[in-house]
Amino acid sequence: MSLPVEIEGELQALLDLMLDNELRVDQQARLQAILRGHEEATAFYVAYMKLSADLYRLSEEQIPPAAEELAFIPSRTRSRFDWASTAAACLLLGFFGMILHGAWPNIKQHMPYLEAFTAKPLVVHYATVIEARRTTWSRGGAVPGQALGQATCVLDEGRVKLRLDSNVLAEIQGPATFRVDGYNQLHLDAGKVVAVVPAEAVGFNVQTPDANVVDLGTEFGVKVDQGRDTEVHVFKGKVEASLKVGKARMIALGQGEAARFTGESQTAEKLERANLALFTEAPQIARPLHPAIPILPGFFHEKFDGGPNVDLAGLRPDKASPGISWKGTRSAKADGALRKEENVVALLPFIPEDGHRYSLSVKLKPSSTPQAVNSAFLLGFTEGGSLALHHKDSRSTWASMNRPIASMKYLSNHQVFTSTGGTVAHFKLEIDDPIETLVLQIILDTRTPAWKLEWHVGGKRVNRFTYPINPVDIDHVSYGSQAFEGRISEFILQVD
Amino acid sequence: MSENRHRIFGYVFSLTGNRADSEDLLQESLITMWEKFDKFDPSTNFIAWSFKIAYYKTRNFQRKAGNSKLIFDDDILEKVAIQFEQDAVILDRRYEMLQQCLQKLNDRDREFILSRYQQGARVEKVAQASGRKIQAAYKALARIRKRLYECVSFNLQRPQES
Repeated sequence: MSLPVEIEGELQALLDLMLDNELRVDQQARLQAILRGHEEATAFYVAYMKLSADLYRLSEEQIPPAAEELAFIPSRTRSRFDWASTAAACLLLGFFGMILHGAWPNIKQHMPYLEAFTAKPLVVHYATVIEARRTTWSRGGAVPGQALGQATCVLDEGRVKLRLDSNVLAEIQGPATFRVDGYNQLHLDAGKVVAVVPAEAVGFNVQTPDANVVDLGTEFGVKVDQGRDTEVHVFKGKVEASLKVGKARMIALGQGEAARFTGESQTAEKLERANLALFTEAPQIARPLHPAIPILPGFFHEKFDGGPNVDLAGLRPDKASPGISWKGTRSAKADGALRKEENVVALLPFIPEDGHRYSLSVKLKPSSTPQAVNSAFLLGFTEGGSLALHHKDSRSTWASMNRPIASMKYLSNHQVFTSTGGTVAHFKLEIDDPIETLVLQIILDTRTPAWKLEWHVGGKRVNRFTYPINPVDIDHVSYGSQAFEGRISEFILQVD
Repeated sequence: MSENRHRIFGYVFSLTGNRADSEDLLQESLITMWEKFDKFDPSTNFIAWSFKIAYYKTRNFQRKAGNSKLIFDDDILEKVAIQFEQDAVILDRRYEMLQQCLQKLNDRDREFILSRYQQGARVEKVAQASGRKIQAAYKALARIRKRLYECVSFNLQRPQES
């Protein structure tokens, strides 16, 4: 038996208050009452606290390069940790959690100072749009790279491909009405969806007005028509589907099989065979299809010689690919354009296609005062491969290959490492802060079925990697830096 | 010893909810374990033995702290301790799953949450460094932690790889 959702929300809020040392006597009593009254509450409590304990461990011991970019914290402060701030955040975590679950009136009345944060409910998303083609939305929706909220979306036309947090790929074909309101589930009220479910997401669930479809490791399509019939077609693997109303009848479907479920007549029947024509894109869904932005052969080229690159706002690239506009403000949204974010991070939404050679490079100018402490530079095809140049003062013990980036530690004060998909592919090179202009370059070659990645430093290849046939989840290119302000002279994406 | 050290920290943290207190109690527990190691029976469970020492350290600490600290009633403290010990194996897996789940976050969220949990980090500074307003930072933390919690819970339901 699981903890009732409203209790879980309240418990989460109380825990965060506790972490804040803000828990009053009556709230403490309530917390203890929940822990006494619900057997499952203690398990939730322990797991919730363990998450924070683990995050402390990860953040202290396994500093990823990205986190290093925010390295504003003295590294040697043995601390009475600033718990007031911690708990303030945690308090709010729980508070928002309760809002989400609609179960917080008893807490809210005691925390008027938090109401400023409750004007908008917390939006937790479980899916990200990774591709959209000729889409028109009349409700909700998102552009590639953006997360999709839990609210119902109405896609009037076009196709949109989503990646759920569980790694399920789902392509929705409009007109469709749907929502993704769970980690591994999707509601389809109308329209068509094709889902490709990896092994780790077995159990993926599609709910329609009439049917409940549960994946058993497969690729399948679900079609809900205006008459509210639901058809389930299996391309590969197995699914189980059942009628929601009346006497539940579960139908197991294998490859090439299909079934129709009609709520009104409370019927569930197997069809003769799956009709793949209903889902014209099904076989291709696992492949990257088209770029989010039309990137034509040519190159995108920025020059930042004007000064510290933290002041990129207002600058324009000297040349740009058609369709790309430069948004140089800190508040720019992920609107499909190159944007400049905090901490000197620039992103270009980008999805590579087969048949090209993409070169991503920067020129790093020499410095009269070589970096020594807490500086880092990161360049990458995000989620595809990155290259980091790190300078770190005397913190370190080891580095290792094939470990998550989060496990990376510093081997020396100056190092370069390369990574793919969040995993350090190879530690290769140690360098000093360059005394001459240094070119850092990543080349992605998609001209072969198995895409290849190469890392170059100063014109010398330091590593290479061949992807499996599986699609590579690249959705933008980026660079970011800490303490390299004014030293990036060019950022170039060249497409051949 | 390193893994056990983290286990004990997680255990104490679940009892106190306070990082600094937990670190102090961990140190005290380790010293006591060192002093009493000759009394440890190698045929028994080491981590259970270390938990017990940490448990009493924590209980005594909270009793001495009196009203200046949040304290659980003894029955709750014991309930939490028992739950933690029962779940010890799966709690270890939670750490592994969390590492994986962190990689599922986008770079910005991952940077943000890890920065938030760095020693000495203040929400205000983390918010400032990431260019977020404080309210937005709180919301982002809430959203990220909820995702991580659900991701970890989801992954735990999957069969363990051999």
